[in-house]
Amino acid sequence: MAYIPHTDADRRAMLEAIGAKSMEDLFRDIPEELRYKGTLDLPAHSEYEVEQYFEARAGENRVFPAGRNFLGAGAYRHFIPAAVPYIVSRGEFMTSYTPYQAEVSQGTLQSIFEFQSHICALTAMEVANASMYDGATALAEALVMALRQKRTERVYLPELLPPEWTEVCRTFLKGLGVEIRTIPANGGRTHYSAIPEGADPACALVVCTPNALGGIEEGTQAREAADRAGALLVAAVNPTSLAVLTPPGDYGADIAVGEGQPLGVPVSFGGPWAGFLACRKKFIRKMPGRVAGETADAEGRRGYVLTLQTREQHIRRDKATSNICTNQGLVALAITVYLTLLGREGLREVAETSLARTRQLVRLLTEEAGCSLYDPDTPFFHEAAVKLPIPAETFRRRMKDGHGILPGFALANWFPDLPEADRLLLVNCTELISSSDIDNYRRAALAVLEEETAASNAP
Amino acid sequence: MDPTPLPLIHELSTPGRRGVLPPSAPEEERRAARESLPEHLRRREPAALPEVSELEAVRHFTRLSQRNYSIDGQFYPLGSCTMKYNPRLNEKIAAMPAFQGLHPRQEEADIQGILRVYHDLQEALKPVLGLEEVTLAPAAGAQGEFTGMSIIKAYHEDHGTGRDEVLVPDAAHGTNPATAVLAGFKVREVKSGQDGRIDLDSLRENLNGKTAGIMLTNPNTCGLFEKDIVEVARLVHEAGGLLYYDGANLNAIAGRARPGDMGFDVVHINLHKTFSTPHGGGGPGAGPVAVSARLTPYLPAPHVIRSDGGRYSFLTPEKTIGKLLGFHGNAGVILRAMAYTLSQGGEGLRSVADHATLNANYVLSRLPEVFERPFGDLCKHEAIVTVRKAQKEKGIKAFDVAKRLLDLGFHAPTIYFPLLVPECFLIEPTETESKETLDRFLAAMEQIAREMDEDPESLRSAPVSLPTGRLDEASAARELNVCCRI
Amino acid sequence: MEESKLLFTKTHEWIEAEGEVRHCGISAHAQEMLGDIVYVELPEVGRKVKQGEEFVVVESPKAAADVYAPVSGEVVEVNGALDAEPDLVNKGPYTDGWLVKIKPGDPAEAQELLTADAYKEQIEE
Repeated sequence: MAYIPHTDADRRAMLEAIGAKSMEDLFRDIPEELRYKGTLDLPAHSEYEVEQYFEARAGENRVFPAGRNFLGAGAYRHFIPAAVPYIVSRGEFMTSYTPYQAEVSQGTLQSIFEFQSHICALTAMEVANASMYDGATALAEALVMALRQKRTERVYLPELLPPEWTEVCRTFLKGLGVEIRTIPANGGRTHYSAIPEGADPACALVVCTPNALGGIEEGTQAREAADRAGALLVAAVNPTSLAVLTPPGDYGADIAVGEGQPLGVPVSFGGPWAGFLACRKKFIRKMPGRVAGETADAEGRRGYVLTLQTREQHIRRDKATSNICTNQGLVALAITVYLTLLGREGLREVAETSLARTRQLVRLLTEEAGCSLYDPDTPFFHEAAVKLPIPAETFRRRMKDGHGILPGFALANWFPDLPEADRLLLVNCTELISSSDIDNYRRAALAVLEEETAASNAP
Repeated sequence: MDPTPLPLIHELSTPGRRGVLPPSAPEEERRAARESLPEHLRRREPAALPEVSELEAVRHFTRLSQRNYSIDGQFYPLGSCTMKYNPRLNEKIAAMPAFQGLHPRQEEADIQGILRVYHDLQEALKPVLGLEEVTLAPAAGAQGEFTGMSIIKAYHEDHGTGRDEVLVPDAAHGTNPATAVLAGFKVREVKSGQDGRIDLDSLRENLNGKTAGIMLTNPNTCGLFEKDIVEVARLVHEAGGLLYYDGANLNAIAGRARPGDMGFDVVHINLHKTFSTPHGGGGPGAGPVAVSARLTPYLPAPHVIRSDGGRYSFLTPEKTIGKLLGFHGNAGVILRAMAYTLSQGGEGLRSVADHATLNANYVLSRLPEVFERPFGDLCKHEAIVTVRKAQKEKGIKAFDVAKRLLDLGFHAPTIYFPLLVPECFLIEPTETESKETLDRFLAAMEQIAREMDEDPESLRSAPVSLPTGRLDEASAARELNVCCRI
Repeated sequence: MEESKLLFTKTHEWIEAEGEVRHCGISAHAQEMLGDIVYVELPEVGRKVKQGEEFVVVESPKAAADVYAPVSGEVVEVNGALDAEPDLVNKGPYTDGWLVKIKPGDPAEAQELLTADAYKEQIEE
């Protein structure tokens, strides 16, 4: 049997020490009628056979090279230094558990503290936790946190929040009886003036920037709208963008959340990733999740422990701030190592290059391919909503099937009610897209558009 | 271990030093990009990230790693956590580019391989749990619990029962009551009896017309099989409630008994426990949920199905509780668990339960007397013992013993849980440990038993051989220094 | 406050036996059981509480204890010094470590409470 070291002699000796007659005897406390007599119809496989199974499954997937992937919409392929997976795969990190015994978990605890420090630096917030399951759940937990702080059972979410995030918030808030209101969009940006003075009070108002169309929101307008509703301002942000964009702390956000995947984590079919959650210090006792804090031993040697555990489920039970038990340990570690290796200059280069390439792509689409920006007045970061002369779904299919390029995300999947939604495509470039990749895109796009236009003009 | 505290990575920072250089556009293009942003939206001060070389970073994190105990390095009998060996094969599989490079928004025709892995694991888990349908969407055990309780909530709302109370045993994992509240229920506590099992009288007293369900772990948190489970199920079902199974302890019974046969309607399990995926210092895990036939319409989105033509696709169940994550669950963890399931096969899983139970009972039978057994001499995959006498007579606490074990090269068992037994240890060796390792652990426990009489100070002052001694948790909680600034 | 002039609850709270506005807190025994107090969550001034209602939370690193109102009434003052020095509860549970001042609504309720001696007997059991 795989991974079980016992020999026949071991089993005999151990059963004898226990005073049991057989293995079955160890289960004599299970009532007879509940003992499972069937067999689980699943053969065991050798290591080599297991690999063969997965080689076959791998062959049924189609992975596109980074240079041909212009699809973002919440999952971004960035450069990952080789040292990131190396550190993360070290057994001392990978095969340890939640650091209950602090003296033999200083590696994990200090790395969590460093993660928290990196997140605070990026977001310009005062405190951060050890990570959440992903960005969407980090937002949902932030709303629950705001509810515990304010006790007003209403939240305002922008229309331009990625719809999956809205759905996750709805799943989380359903049981708590919280009403979700939508702040409408005005073009490619959220219309924060739609929340007037004397608006119905809420516990939280969310700004998502860049938003689901790639547009950069005005954080200060969101702050003012939150104040008008007596709400905490929750900012949902892309962490890479924070190397160049105003961080949430600077426009007065109370809680900042986001998806950490762009920071050194492979897209991996959507998980495991890690969400981050940071807030003002005065809300720290309402914060969900693990937190590492600095302290010292009796001799004054510095060390780290899990702190504020009294908020957590294993102590506070039904009064806990959340039911979350752990963090996304290894993923948070990958993010910590990534941010360390790139450093302040490296992350800025990633962000600026992503922006530069996206601008380059948008320029050629608008100047050469008869496309236009959905909202030319809203600045974008590394993703932009472009209106095509043909249906976006047709364009996407032809680009993929004919040219092996994932050209972007057809926005009708998200926002079918936008004007001319079926022609909207969300395009993304990261620093992994080179100028020649953009040139490939250009040639393919021009060919596809020409053929499609010719086809539709044919008598 | 090296006794000096390590610097923080921020303290190693030197202005101008670079680590790894990313692909970068030329400076003039980047400047143009920067300047394309309206000035008031631009970051003014660069984010205070460290500036270190690659070697400095690698050395720093390597040295940090060396300050962890881990399964790879030490025996780690943490009760309730199932710290078994994490096979390297699983890691190799999860790292394959055909899985890691898959974008979650690719169309179904291009992701048939991963969808089939999801489906195969769903199918493999069904007979283990004895239930109708399985979802792999939840990201962790706690999220699996939330999924299960949200399903129970949706069922009662759908049927207009108006039931909003959930029963939770006093010895339950803390997540149970926390989850019930998050899902919108009120919690009522059911008492445990003297034998460490659920008290049927207390159960009957708490059942009423508002009862939506009960959350149970079996074997329970004392490592004991709930012998009356069939009667519990009958009572709860007759009262109109549903049964939720916290599968944290599945490792004890996989292939020997099935939650579905016990009468459970909803089950969550932890792939990072029974199915050997690494705990990673706290995550990521995955918490699949299985349900009986009447609950399948409420499963979370998305769910993977196989059509008659052999194509795999996502499905949003009719009355779904909704989405739990931005995408489709922790695919990397699901891949590892599938690799493990294939390695073990059905017989292997039963053998896992057998040997996990054998190891726990062996430890229980050989521990020195000072480690009292509150609930007799038969346990399942974990053994509970207490030093309450030593605490009363000599002032030696479970905490002291735990810290001394660290000095002796073992990770300590879980202490002070379940709350039912004062000064307790919950010892879960798992099946992957050899008799020799267990004997070395038992020898350490004997040494500690002797030290209680001969050298109690070595217990009270432990640990002494590690980079830090006992850390001052009170000052950490008062100061709340949770991040550093450059 | 003199211990002998205080009244106690079975759940380890104390309140002054007399006065229109009375200090209350947790007993010396309770703070000892909890260990190092690291945080006290105090109610809003003006809050009306019923006897037995949870109105304060006292936290150590590993435990959070609900404190129940020893009598019904209105919270008229809270001990602001605990924000900076929560361990005052450890150092002087009957003096500087008081939690709130209550204006009792129903003086009859205090009759049901334990005297200092009766409370001592209870905890010795």
